[in-house]
Amino acid sequence: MRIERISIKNFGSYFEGPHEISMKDTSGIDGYAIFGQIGRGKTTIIKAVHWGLYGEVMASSIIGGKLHEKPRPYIDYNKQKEGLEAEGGWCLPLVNNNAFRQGFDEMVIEVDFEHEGSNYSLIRIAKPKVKNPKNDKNMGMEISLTMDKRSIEKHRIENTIEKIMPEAISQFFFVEVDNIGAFSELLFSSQNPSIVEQVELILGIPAIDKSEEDFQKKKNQHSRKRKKLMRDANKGKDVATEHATCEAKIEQAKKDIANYREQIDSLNHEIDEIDEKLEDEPTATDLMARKKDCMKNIEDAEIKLKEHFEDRRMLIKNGFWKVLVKKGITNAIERLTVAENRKEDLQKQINLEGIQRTHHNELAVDKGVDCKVCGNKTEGSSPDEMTKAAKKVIELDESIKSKQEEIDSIGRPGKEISGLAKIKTNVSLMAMDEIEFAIGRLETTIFNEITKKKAVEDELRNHDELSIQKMKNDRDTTMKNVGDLEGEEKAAIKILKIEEEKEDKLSTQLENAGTQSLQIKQLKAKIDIYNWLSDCFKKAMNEFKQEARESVQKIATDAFMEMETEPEKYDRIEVGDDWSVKLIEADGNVAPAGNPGTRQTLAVCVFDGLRRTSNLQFPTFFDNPGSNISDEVIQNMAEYFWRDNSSQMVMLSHSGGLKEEETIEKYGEKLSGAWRVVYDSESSSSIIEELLMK
Amino acid sequence: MTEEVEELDLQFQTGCSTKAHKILKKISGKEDKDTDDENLTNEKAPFDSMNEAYMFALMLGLSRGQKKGWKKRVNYANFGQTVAKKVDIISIMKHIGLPEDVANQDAMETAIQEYATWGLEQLGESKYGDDDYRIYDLLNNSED
Repeated sequence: MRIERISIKNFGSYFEGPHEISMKDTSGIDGYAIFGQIGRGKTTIIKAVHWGLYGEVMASSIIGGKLHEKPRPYIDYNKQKEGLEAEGGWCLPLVNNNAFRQGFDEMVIEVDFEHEGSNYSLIRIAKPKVKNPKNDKNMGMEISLTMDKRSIEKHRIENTIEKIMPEAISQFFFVEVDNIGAFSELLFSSQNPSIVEQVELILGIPAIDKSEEDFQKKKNQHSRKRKKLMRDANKGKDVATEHATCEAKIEQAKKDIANYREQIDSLNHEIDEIDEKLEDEPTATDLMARKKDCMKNIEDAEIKLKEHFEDRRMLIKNGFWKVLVKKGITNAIERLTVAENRKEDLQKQINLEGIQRTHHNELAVDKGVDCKVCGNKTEGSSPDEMTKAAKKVIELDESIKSKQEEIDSIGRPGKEISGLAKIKTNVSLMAMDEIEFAIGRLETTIFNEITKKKAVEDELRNHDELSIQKMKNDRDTTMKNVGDLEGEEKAAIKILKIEEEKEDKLSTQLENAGTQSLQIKQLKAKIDIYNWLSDCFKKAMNEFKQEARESVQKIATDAFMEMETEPEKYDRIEVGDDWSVKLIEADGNVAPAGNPGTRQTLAVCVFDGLRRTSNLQFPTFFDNPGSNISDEVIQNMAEYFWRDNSSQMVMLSHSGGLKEEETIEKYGEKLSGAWRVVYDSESSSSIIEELLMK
Repeated sequence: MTEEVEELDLQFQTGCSTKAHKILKKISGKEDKDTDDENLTNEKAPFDSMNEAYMFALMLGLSRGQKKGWKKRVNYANFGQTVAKKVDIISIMKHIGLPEDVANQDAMETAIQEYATWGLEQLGESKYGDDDYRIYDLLNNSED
């Protein structure tokens, strides 16, 4: 199958329409790229194709560590019209919000595709049955499918699509972030029956199983017919009569066993139903215990809450107001320290200038003195020098006076600093945040517990202890009946075994009792052939499984080595008999695939191995797994997937992984088409823009 | 200016607006009480006493540079003897507030009461439910 056209109207983020993608002209190249930022409507294209084909789109979310899945509704009145966010908000409606608000006429997906030489055209429409639809009950769905322009009858459409691509295995081709995430979680854990079933389905193993079963059935039919003919040939002889009686007993025993089994299964089913109801219907004691738990939780939280309120008061009591002025005080101290330093500097300068003044003052009046020792007179200052010195004294006096005035204006910053330093605090706002966060959490706990307690009290009021006891009694009686029936079944199995052994001996006696007709001989030959075919199929299936496993393993390993940035670290991907996957390191040890990116890359590779081994021709939509996988690995994936043109490969990428310009530049020749999905705020819709390729 | 500041006297009757006074009583768990010496009436109250609450509100207004006047004023207590017993409020106001706040005695008294009124009314708005106040969100945008 290859898709030739997708048309979207009023679906998801696509308002009105049709919004189209055409993949008709390929010139042998089948690689495609759809670019767009996160949330612009790329994945919606995959969902649209899926809905077009199967009429359903599942939403999944991991809640409390468990994978939850449910079908997305067409409309959600509360969410789309009232803007209310209900529980399960992750399950978004399919009809475009604007379309719904404006009273849409229809939501339409058209998919034109080619399959095994025929051209198909599929149209699926969802439309309101009433004027203002409130929920999916008010919605209707129509579908039409033409094959080479001939209409396929409505009741055959689903089957026809299912034959082209069973929905159960379509997820190997619609590789989305969500389901690959879920798959990668499941693939590497213990065996998961549903995964094993889906993996075997894509490889066609159930079909081979079915053929082997058919051979067994044929063989048994011929065997019964042959024995009857042998009895007829020996009519009247004791051995024939005995054989007939024996066969009748076997038949009866088988019927009895089937009958007992049916009754046991039915009763077990009843027990399961009672158990489910009992699980939903707790006893009064359970309810009282739950109420007590709630009360205890409320009491504990209230005690803690009281302590936190007290802690808050203590924090405030110890000068918490200082936190408010902490920064201002720090700044003020800094300013005052600068002033204090300036004051000290000025004082030093005054002292220095004072010494200079004394010196110049002496020079200004120095007329020479007589030496008391030698009697000679010193020279003294000249009149010129005296004038200069006197001028200098006046200058210094002025400078000292100005500096002293500046000192006086600065005041006493040192004293102020020591006063303000007392207001500084080491307490931070975070201390308050921590206490009030704890208060908020405890208040929420108390509110939740009170709500829970109220619900338990309501349940207690409406509780019917008698009906629960009756259910328990019914369960005990049913269990006893199952036990009795299992005893009967065991006895019937014993009879069957005895009679089968007897029948085996009698069959040998019948074989030897007389001549066998040509028909009996022919039947014997047929039985032998069916036995041989059955054995061959069993053997072939084992070999096929082995080959398929090896093929998946080889393809996945090759793909992984090509995508991985450090392939030398790894030896291979190992796929077990139960389809569990292990990544083996170069030294032979199992790699701990804890990194979500590695797990998703592994899942992508195993998916590719399964797709290629299955030989199914179907377009693959690969939604870029986003942030978990590195850009380099994404580039390697693109290189790997777009190289092969055996089937359509549509890669979707947001700006992180495959950048638009870079990708077209690098892989343009490997692409047959590329589009950009943008959100147009004017039309309130996602828009698909075709990109011109070089 | 320095000389004037040193002459200011903190021994005066301080107060706030009527609305702020109601809040003052509520946030210190003294809603139904006449004095500040009795036990709390609301265990959720963030403040132990009205003095602490008044001081906190004053600093809140001062640190944000926000004042609020009043139509009707309620006398609360002697500022120097109760609220700012051992704190050099004048110094804080001089360095964090406006110069005119400490220009003279009247200006200082008015500034203190207006800062406190604004702070108390803000505290009154940081309510999460009945008498359940939150301080952190209020302070998150403050000076610190």
